[in-house]
Parts: sequence; C-alpha cells; structure tokens
Amino acid sequence: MSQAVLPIAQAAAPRERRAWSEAAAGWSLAGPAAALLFLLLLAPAAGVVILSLTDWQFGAADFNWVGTGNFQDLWRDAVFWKSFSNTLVYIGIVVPGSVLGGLATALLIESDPSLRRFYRAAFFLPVASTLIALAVVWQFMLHPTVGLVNQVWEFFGGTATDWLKNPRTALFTLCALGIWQMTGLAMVLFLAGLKSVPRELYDAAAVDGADSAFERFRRVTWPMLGPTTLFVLVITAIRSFQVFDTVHVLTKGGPNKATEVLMHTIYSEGFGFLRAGYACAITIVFLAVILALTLAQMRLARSRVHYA
Amino acid sequence: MTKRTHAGWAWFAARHAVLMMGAVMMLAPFVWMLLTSFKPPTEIFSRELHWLPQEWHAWENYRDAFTKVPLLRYLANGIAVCAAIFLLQVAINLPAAYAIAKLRFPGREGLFRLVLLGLLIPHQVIAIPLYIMLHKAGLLDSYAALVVPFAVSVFGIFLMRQFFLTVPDDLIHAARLDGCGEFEIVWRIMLPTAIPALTASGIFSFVWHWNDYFWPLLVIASPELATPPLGTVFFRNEEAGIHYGPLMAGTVVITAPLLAAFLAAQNRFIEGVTLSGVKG
Amino acid sequence: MAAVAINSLAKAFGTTQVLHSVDLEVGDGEFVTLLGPSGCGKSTLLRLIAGLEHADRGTIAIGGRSVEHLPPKARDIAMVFQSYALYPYMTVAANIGMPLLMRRLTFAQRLPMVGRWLPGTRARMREMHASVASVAQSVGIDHLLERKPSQLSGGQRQRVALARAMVRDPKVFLMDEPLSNLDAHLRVQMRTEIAALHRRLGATFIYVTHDQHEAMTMSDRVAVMLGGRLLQVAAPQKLYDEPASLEVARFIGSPRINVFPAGQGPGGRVSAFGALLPVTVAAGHRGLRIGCRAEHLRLASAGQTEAFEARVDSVEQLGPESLLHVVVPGEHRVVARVTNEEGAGLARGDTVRLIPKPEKLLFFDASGARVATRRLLPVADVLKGAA
Repeated sequence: MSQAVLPIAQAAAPRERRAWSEAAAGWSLAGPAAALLFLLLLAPAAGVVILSLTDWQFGAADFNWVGTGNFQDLWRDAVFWKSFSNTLVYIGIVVPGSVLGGLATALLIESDPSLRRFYRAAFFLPVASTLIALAVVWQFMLHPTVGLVNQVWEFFGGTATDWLKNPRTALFTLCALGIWQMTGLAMVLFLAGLKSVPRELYDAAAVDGADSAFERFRRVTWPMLGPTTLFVLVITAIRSFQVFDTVHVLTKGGPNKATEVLMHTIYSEGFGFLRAGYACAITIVFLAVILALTLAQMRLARSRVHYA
Repeated sequence: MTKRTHAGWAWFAARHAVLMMGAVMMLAPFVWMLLTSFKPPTEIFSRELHWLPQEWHAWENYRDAFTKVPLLRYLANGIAVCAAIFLLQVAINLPAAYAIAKLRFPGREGLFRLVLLGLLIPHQVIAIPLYIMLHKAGLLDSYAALVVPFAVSVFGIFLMRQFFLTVPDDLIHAARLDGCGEFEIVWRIMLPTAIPALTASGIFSFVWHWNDYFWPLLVIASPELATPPLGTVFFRNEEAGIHYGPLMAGTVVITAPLLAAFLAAQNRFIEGVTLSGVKG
Repeated sequence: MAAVAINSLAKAFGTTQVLHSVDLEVGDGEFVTLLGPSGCGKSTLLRLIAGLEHADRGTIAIGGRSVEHLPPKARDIAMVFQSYALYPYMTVAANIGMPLLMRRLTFAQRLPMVGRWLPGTRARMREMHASVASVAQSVGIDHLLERKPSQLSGGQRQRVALARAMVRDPKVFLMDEPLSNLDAHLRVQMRTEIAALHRRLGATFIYVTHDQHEAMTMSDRVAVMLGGRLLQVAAPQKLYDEPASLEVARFIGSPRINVFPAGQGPGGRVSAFGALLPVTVAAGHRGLRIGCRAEHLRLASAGQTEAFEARVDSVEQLGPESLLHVVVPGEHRVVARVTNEEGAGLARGDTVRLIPKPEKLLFFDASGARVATRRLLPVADVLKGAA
C-alpha cells in the first residue's frame, strides 16, 4: 500500500509548488494595484461616508459626530432641492435631446455611403474636444451684444438676450450646450449598434414584405437596437447628472441658483464654504442616484436577452 | 452603381440637407473660434455680422495670447501629466489585469469584485477625501497631485482583463516552457500582444485626463502647473471679457492638439473616446 | 408553382464582374442546385432571382411573368438564408407569421394598439394563426411556437426558417446554403427532409451550395458555376459521367478525377504513359488530356497490353475499399480504387500496371473543352473478352 501512496505524494508536491509560485506571482503582479485601490479608492470612499456623518470643516481642528444631521439639514435645504431639481431638468432635456439627435444622425449617416466620414467626424468633434475651451468660445458666442448667436438670432427676427445671465434662459442654454456636446457620443454608440444588426435580417424582412423604410426600422432596426438604446440612455443620463464644467465656467450656478446643479453644489459646499461634512452628505445622495441608474441598466439589460 | 429614381434623388438631397445643417451647428463654434482669432477688435465688437476677417489681425492676437499667459506651458503640462499618468497606469494596471485574467491566487475574485465596484463609483465622489489625503501629505499644488490619484485605473484594469481573457492560455504555457518567469511573461509577451487594447485605453486615458477640469481645479492653484482646461480658464479670467481676439487665439492653440490627433486617426480616436464617454 | 427563366443575366460589383451573362431555365416543380466554390457567383445569382440585388443586364421571369422591376415581396418567392435570419426578438410563431402579417393585414391593421380593433383584423389574425400552426406542425415544431430563436437548437432554427418560407405557399423556394451551419449528422438528416419536402410540396426549388454531395443527392438538375459563369446544367449522374469541360469534371467527384496528358498516334489512336489505348479521337488536337475516374482504373493482368506502369506511393484504406495512390513517370499522381485485398498486397515502391476502362475515358483539349471520342475495338481484345 505504501508503494502506491508514494508516487501520488511525490506527484502532489510539484503541483503544490506550482500553485504556490503562481499565487506568489499573482500577488506580486497585482499587489501594487490592489494596494493603490485600497488607498486611492476604498479609503476615500469610506472617508466620504464617515465624513458625511460629521460636521467637519476644512481647516478645523476638531469635529462633532452629527449622525444623520447633515442629511436632515439637506432635506430642509432649499438650495439643495433647487439644485437637485435643476439637475433633473437638465437630464430631462439633454438626455432625450442627445439620444434622439444621436439616433437620427446615426440612421441618416448609415442610410447612404456618401460623406459618411465627414459627418461622423463633424458630429463627434464636440465630444473629442476640450469642453472647457469650447465653453469659453460658447460664452463669447452667447455674448449679449457681440455674440454670434444673438447676431444670427436678430437676423431671424428675435430680440437679443443675455442667454447666460437671464434666469429664464440660462438653464436651457446650458442644456443646449449639453446636447451639443453629447449628441456625437450617442451617435457613435448608435452607429456601432447599427453595424451589429445582421444584414440578412433586412433581406429576410424584404422577402417577408417589410421593405419600406418605416417597416424596416420598426421590424428590424428598432428591436435590434434595444440593448444599445438602453445603454445610450443610461450613459447620457449618468454623464448629464455629472455636469459641472460648463456650469462652473459659465454661470457659477447663477443667476440666482437658476443653473445650480448637484455637482456644483458639492463643490461650493466643500471647497467654497469649506463644509466638508455637508458636502460629503450631498455626495452620498449623488452616488446613490448614479448607482440606481447603473443598477437599473444592468437589471434591464439582463432581462432582455434575446440574441441567438 | 445604384440607379437613382426621382424619389431616390429627393431622399439623397434631403439627407444631405439635414445632416449638413447638423454638421454646421456642431462645427460652428470651432469655425467661429478660428475666424475670431484672426479678427481685430473693431470687427469683433461691431454690431454687424462679419464672417470673414476684413483686416488680418492674426499675428497680434496670437502674439498676445502667447505673451499674456504661458500657453505653451499649459500644453506642456498637459502632455507631461497625461503621459505620466499613462505610463504609471501601464506599469500598474497591466500586470494586475494579467494576474486577474490568467493566474490563480487567493483573493483574485475579491480583487476583481473590488475593480467592478470601483467602476460604479464616479471619480467626483471620492474627491474630498483624496484632497484631504494630498493635503496631509503636503502634495497639493504639485504635479504629484495631478498624477498620483490616477495611478490605478479600475477602468483600465477592467478593459485589459477583458482583453487578456481572449489571449489563448497556450501562449503563456509555451512561454513558461521556454523558461520565462512571470515578470518576463508580462513585459516581454503580454505587453506587445496587448498593444491594440493598450492603444484604445491609452487614448481614452490621455483624452480623459487632458480634458479633466474638475480635479486640477481642486488641487492646483499656481498657473505654472495648470493643465490646458485650467489654463484656459485662467486666461479667460484675466481677459475679463475684453480681448476676445487673443482669447480665441488661445483657445485655438489649446484645442488644436486634440483636434489634430482626432483628424489624424479618427477610428482609433473614436474607439478610445467612446470608452471615455462610456466611463463618464 | 412556376418555372423560372433567366436570360443573359450579368452583374458587377464595382469593378468586379461577378456574373457573366448567365442563362438558365428551371422547370416548374424542378429542384435545381447552383453548385460551385465560394466566389463563383451562385449566391449573387440567387439574390438576383430573389430581388435582393438588381442585375446590370438581362431578364428574369417567374411563372412567365417578368420580375426584374419587382421587389422581393412581389415576386412570390420565399427564401431560406444561410444563417436562417430569424428575428431574435420574436417568438417562433411570430417569425413564421411575419410574411402573412405583412401581406394579409393592411398598414392600418398592423398598427400597434389600434390595429386590432379595426374590422376584419381579428378574423384575419385567426386565419394567420391557423396557417402558422399547420405549417409548424408539418415540419414538426408546433411544440416550439412560444419559444425565442435563442432557445432553439440549430436544427430547430432551420425548421423555423423553412416554415417561414412555406407559410405563404410561394411559387419558388430559394435556399442559400441552408445546411452549412449544421453538424455533419444533422446535415445528412436535413438533406433527406428537404428532398421529401420538395416532393410533398411540388414547388420549384432553387438551392445554392458548395457541397457536391448535397447537390448530387437532392437535385433534379445541377448547375455548375465557376467564375461567374454557368459551366454545365444537367442531371447529377450526367454531370458525373458526361462533364462538358475539364473544370466540371474536376469539381464533381471524390476523389478528384485523374487528369493526365495524352498523345495521339497514327490514325488518331490515343496513348498515355507509354500505353496505347483502344480509343481514337478526332485528329489534330494539341494538348490532349485524358480524364479518368479512380473507379475506372484497374490493376492490369499479365496479358493486357494497354496498361501503363506506375510506382506505388501509398494505399488508403477507406473501409469498404481502398484508394491506391501511384506515381507515373513524369511525376504524375494518379488515384485508383482497388479492393482491400488488392491494396493489402501492395507496398510503397512496388511497381504496378494500371489499365483504364476505355469506354469511360473522357478527353479534353488544351482549353478544357470536351472532345468526342470514337472507340476502337481491336478484334483481338474482343476475342479475349476483355472489352
């Protein structure tokens, strides 16, 4: 019996050694990343949660634990609610605008081979550029007297407006900028989705009798784009929710909080008023919404599995 | 060669009309930015609409832009910071992604779940504690503050891991048989193999950090350290709405590098930037 | 059920001429296969018949009616695609019913919410459900009607594609390599099922494949295509026995037909590899070549003089018989079918003598066209009874 056991034991030792050396290699290769992830991601994330339960201010020597105090203050904070609702309005305009714009553009571009590269580049340029620089350009273009927008507007019979300073137009102007910047992204994602629709489906539909543009879209394109559309919706929503650059550079949340958005509020509270604890509480709300959007997309995507 | 019917030609024209209108709206700021940078103040501030500059003022505008603010410095900062971030990310993300994809070690699943969790957290959420950490380490207002927080990128790890999953195991077995140790496998074999994925994630990383305004705004106060977006805002604030010519010239200079890169390699660029758009 | 007539059909994609002036007549109820290697234009021809592409020149008539200007849905054809092209987001029933939906209901009746309330819609839909159910039952998938394509096996998906084609009772069935995505066993099974379907329906079938086994077993006639041209259209056995050209002869048959150079002696008598064969051809052909199928070569017995010598290279045992691979002077490789016993007795390097069956020899000139033969029967052989 010992005769039989020995060879197996001998075979086990090299295997164990291999497993051990593989594990060691794994740790050493992934170690730096793991350590940095703890340091630069997990720790700060925990920090946000902890800070949101305090009233700590930047530069203060000590702080108090206020538990849910910050959140209760938030509930009663009119500025927070104005900011939140502004952000929702922003999403409500920019998401449909850029998704529909992107879809229409992608469909039009794909429907004919002429000038495709040009159109694709033209629509994608705003996405690829430095938004801040373009925001400065837009600020000039939106100038109440010498801006291009007003000069064209007046040419068509409108009255010149200070688009960014007028409380009634400021948020919508920023929304227009948002759509301008995001349509190209939606377009590119839809283009990829359109390419993935098998050509033979359109052939089969033609033989079955669905050969008009409307029927092709309804019976083949739109259903096959389902997952892509969901993806684009969530991506544009999350990105819109994070809007900050244009607000900070163009309006600073004004006039009179007309363009105050959530991310800007976090910034003002944390780095303007130095109320770090409070800012972290708002951050938790911010995170919660984004998590909800992401998880909703994952759940919906999984339930719509229909690919052969 | 398709035969076009009457309906075909009408559709062809309509498609171009609609797309061209959209393209005009998309390109308008770029064109206007460029044209304005060539104009003298009289034309900029006139009430009449001048499309093309009647008087060529480009030299003055650009000279002013370069002398009023350290434009080239901003660009150089952008390149330095983005390159440093990218190199750091390759050094840290690539081995980790390979290990997660191809090696078995305790804690692997946990680490990957951590990566997935990180994907859910937008960067702005952890800004405040990171700021505090940098402050305590005395690193605020330095290049380190711009680079170190991004040394590890969960998106990069995720992307590279997905890529490494498609690399056949046999390649690695053959390398081991040839006597390669794990480090050699990573740098001599995996790195060259991963170049397509690295290119996409490199472009994504570069463009993302080039265009990042939020983080430099938080951690940088000295103009010499400003990255392009921050530099643009410094410039704009200095100009206080008077010298639009030089301001537009400045934005042209700031915008030009990315634009040039985009036009040079459209497909790669779209691939990379789409990833960044997806990441948010 | 209708005949399909194609005249001088030509098609180019950009600068590539994919079809060069093709003429084909398919009889009513016939099963014709378009056979050829990839890139020969067979799929393009099928798509032209379907109306998914437009020809540059030429005419297509289905049932006597000219159809070049008609869209696919008006040509009364149905098509089964290589990848089945099932709508992944629809149930099997909806997939099968799609052709009926598009034809039997008007645009208004098809509208999402309101359509079903219009008069007549309900009745029509009941009819459609009945048609779908009966077709599904005839191909054996009536228990799968509520499933989605992703939940089906390859063979089941294929049947759904067939059912969708059948549900409208079209005049012509077009099939584009429908079996190529199935595993070998399933392919054989589906071959017989499709052939049975053809017999049952009596419709005209035009079938595209690169697999000669499919073509030979299922078709009434086979149209061999190469480089955008129709080389020959004939019944399978005729294609095998009487190929019109060297290209056809080479394409059909496994193992490949042996082709070797021949010489012409006095009186047109043919010689090959030093053996004088009891055959004559019309005089004056340069570059004459002989095509001889492996089963028409025998190991010669001692007395037969029309045999040629060859060196054994290898023997492949197939089970029921063996293939003998030999090399003839001039490094020509020849394959002959031999019995297992004959093959077992041979080793590499052995010298054998092979004799072809003269009446089965095929002759081709330098351009590959078939040349007529006139067989010569030497009296001596007739006396020996070795004809």
